Amino acid sequence: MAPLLELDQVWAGYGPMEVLRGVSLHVAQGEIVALIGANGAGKTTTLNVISNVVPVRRGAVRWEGAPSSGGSIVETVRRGIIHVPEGRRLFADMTIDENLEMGAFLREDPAGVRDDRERMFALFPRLKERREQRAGSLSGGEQQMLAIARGLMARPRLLLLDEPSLGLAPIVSQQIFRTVRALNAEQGVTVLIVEQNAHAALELAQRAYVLETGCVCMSGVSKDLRDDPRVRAAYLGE
Amino acid sequence: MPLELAEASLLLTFFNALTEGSTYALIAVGYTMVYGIVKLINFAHGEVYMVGAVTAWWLFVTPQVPLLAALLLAMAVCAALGLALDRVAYRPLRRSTRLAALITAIGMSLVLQTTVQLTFGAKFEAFPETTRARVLVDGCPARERPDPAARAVVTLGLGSQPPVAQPAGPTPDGWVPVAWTVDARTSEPGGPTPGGPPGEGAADAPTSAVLWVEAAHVRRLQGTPPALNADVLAGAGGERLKLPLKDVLIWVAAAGMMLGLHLLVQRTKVGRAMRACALDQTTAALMGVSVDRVIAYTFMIGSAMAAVAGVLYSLKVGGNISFRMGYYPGVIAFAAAVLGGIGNLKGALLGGMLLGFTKAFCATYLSSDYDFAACFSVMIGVIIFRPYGLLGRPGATRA
Repeated sequence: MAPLLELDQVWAGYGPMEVLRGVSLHVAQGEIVALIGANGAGKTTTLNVISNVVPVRRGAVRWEGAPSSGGSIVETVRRGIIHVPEGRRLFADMTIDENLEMGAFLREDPAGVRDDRERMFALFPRLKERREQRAGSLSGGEQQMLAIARGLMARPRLLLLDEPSLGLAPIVSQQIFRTVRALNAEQGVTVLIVEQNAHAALELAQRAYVLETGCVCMSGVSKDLRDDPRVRAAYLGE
Repeated sequence: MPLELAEASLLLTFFNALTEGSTYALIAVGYTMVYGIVKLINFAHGEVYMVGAVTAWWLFVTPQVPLLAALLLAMAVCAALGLALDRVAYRPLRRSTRLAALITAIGMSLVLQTTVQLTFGAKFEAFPETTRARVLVDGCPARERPDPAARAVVTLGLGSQPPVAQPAGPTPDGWVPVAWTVDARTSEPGGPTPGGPPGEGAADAPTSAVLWVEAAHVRRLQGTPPALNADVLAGAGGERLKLPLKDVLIWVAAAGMMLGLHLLVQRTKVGRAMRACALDQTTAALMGVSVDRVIAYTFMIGSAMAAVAGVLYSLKVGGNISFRMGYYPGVIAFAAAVLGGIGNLKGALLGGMLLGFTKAFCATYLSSDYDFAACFSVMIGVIIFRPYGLLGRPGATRA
């Protein structure tokens, strides 16, 4: 069976700059996969290619075995690929409720959307207390929770998380990671997570890819990578 | 309630201000919505207003479509025009420099003006209903004269020129023609003005027109002329202030459309998508919003509102319909959108009203020669102290 998502020798970039130089990776149904690597290695660009924010120059992105690159962003959303971008990118002037509604933009089942919203409030009780407030007034951790909740409102088949712990206190990022793990275990959400905190990412994910200047330089089961001396030296600071 | 001249003049000015303000606000909304989402000043927007008025006028006069139907059709035509402008002129340039789109917008403005000029000619037209002369000066009784000369009656500010001549004697029933210098922008130039100086037909130069007033009132006109508005003061005995129905229509339509737009933007899914696109287009797309479609809706809504402004304002003033009519309202409404805070709907309303009041009060109490100058002075004054507009926030752009 074809994996849920597959990148095959993908090249992409901005203007004259090639950021991805032949990235290949795959994500199977039900997995949590991490992308780790230094700044500028191409982690965010990889996610942008998957959600069609950045076009593929060479190579192919396949969703359930069928080519998915070259279309619009909205087409990937329809497939169930939900991208929670770096820096949250909430609609700051809209309320928390409205941000959640935006997450469910393509859904046609109002009752289901209402149920899911209550589920999000159960998952993140802090959001419920502030549902009428502007998203911009939330703290960083709350904003990240809202960004994830907004993504989940679309009932993703694949959730792309870009740096969910960026700028958060360690205790808050731990809570975010716990939530991601619970979503995967209890609801079967497949997750591809980009994370600078390699330690946390390798804790969370079953498998990981290490990106270096636009190429996958290492990949494997998280436990093996954690024990790899090169990874320990370069990304785990040991 | 008998009104003193000064009171009547103040009230009339207030009504005019509300009407002009409503018109500017309806146009400004189109600028501000498009800017909020596309970050483009659609300089062809004033022309959309013009096309709305011309379309409704043509439908009303030629196939004699009922007025309401003509208005609705003009809205539909303008919505389609807005859609076409976006599709043909702006969407292909979405990823190029903003200057390219701006120049295209100016080009589209010229294309629309010339197209209308070639199709309908360069004359000034009016809705026939508005040319019926209902003349009343300084509280004298309303009399209807189907005389084309009386068409020129619109609004004279207190600062206008006194009568230039009394060209002819009274008619047998005691009406006397009085020639006035009127502001050609608000009246019909070049009409037949028996006894008065020939109209030049030029749009910007002040021209002369003839009012017919009852002989008994002529003497009172020798000094400073009062503010005149045939529609406003026409009432039983001329002493009671009657609400000017066309103005009321404009206020109600503008208020209704602004409220409708507010509800659309705040309460509906499309409105939420518009706000999301204004805040962050890429992220909106990541939610599944088709940004191009939202932009198209925005152009259509703004254009339909400009059509309403064009039709209603032309119904009121009469004799302003021509291919050039979009220029000044377009520029003033743009200024209104900027000084209110571009991208902000409430700002467009506030800016439109502020400039409507500035223009009307300047025309009455200072001089109608300086009304546009007054508007731009206000805009410049606001921009110096709040570069992002009255309701705008630094660096923020909202729909």
